[in-house]
Amino acid sequence: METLLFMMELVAVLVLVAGAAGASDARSAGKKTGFFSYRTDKHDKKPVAGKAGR
Amino acid sequence: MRDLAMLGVMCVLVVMAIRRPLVAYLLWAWTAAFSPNYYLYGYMSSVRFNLIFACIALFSLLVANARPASDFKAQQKLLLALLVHATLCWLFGYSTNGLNSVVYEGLAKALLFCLVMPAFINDRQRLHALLVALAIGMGFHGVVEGAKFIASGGGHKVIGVATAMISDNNHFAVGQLMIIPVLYFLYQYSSHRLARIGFLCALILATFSVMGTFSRGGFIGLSALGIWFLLSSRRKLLSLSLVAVVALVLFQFAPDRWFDRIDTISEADQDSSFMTRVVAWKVSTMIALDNPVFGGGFHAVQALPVWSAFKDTIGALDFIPTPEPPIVGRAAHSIYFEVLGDMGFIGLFLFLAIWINAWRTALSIKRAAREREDLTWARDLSDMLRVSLLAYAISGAAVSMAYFELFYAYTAIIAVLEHYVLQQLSPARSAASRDYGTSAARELGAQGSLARATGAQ
Repeated sequence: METLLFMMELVAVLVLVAGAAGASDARSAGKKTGFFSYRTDKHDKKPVAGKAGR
Repeated sequence: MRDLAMLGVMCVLVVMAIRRPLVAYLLWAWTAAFSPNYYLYGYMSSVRFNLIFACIALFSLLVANARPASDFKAQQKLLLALLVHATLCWLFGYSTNGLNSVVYEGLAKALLFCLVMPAFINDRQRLHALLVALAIGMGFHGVVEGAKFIASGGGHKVIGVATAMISDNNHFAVGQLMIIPVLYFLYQYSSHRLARIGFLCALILATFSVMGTFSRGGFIGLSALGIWFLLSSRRKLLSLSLVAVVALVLFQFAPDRWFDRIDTISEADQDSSFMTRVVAWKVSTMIALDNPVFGGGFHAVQALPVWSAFKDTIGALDFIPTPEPPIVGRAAHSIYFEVLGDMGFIGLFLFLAIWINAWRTALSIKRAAREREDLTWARDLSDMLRVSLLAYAISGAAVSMAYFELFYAYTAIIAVLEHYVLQQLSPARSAASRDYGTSAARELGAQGSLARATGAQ
């Protein structure tokens, strides 16, 4: 069981760094990449100035 | 087989780390938390994975010619001050103390990791990735030991990870208590459903692993964590349900000897294990009184010549009755007395200042993010990091874990989070400041890869 979990850990870290490699590029900085990216809810969207007045 | 798999994975990881400095930094965090050597038995067990990725990350900083941040936050200043003071304590420590250099190296590495953090972590995606790296590293131990504890019907006793700071059952409990809140945060804020389920399972298994340590400090920390978790959580009903279910399952599952062990908390003054700790606290205090500025050096209390020189002086602290000190030196058994004995009163002041400043900064993040729904995640993260700090302060009171990497990493993460939140709240101000490591991060990002950077020279 320990070996199986160890292999899963190695896969998890490979998935993490594959996603992070995309994020480390300046052009894609801030973009969500990969399996371990964060969740964006509706309320996570940044308020846009002046939108309320339209 | 594990060694072969690790060798294959390392070939890929090292190449990726060289190409992307952020990857090197994440792997530095992961190897510090995971300590892969513990799970390897062959030719890969002696490889210094942590050192490899630390060197790649630091070298990438040099190659990118990243300017040091001129607008250092208070937390970074405190961490830097601790590093300088620790270096002096190491230099002036008792020469008979064989552990001095080993422990100092670990602390210096942890502080260096924190000091360069702003150069690598400057947006939400990177912060999230860093939390995942720490969680899958430290959480792995909880998953393995928690699974063994359940599979054995409560018979398995967790003994810790010998190659890491969490090397005994009490230390292991503190490590897991500090990662559980982060696992909960990742459960809440991961985008992929499978990742969320994974973090939830890891959280539950890590909780079981704390029980499996049979650590009384771990139980007190777990209780404090549950209570604080309920009080600070934004989703109280969800938190209450989660804590209630976990508590019910734990108590149903716990073997009789676990309850016997926990019962001894009320009889601490008659417990020889606890009273020996009080003796070690007294000896640490006497070392600090004799060396108030630089202390005795790292883990001086454990060195036989130092212990022998001070064990008979604890009579000055007789207002707390304790048994005769043992002949052999003992560990300080408290983060506070450990720092006091090792780095004197100045070291203790800096250590407490780091904790207090991190706590206050996390509180200010919570207040600042209150009005902005798009920063709810930052508010929740600051809450969870505060829970971790609380668990460390409580459970750490009876273990020698003052130089635990995760504690310093959390304080630096809080500083990075504060910077990010302030940036979001006042974009004009952040555009003007362009400091606190973001210039370095930009340069690292702009260069894209270490390979390209070196090729350009």
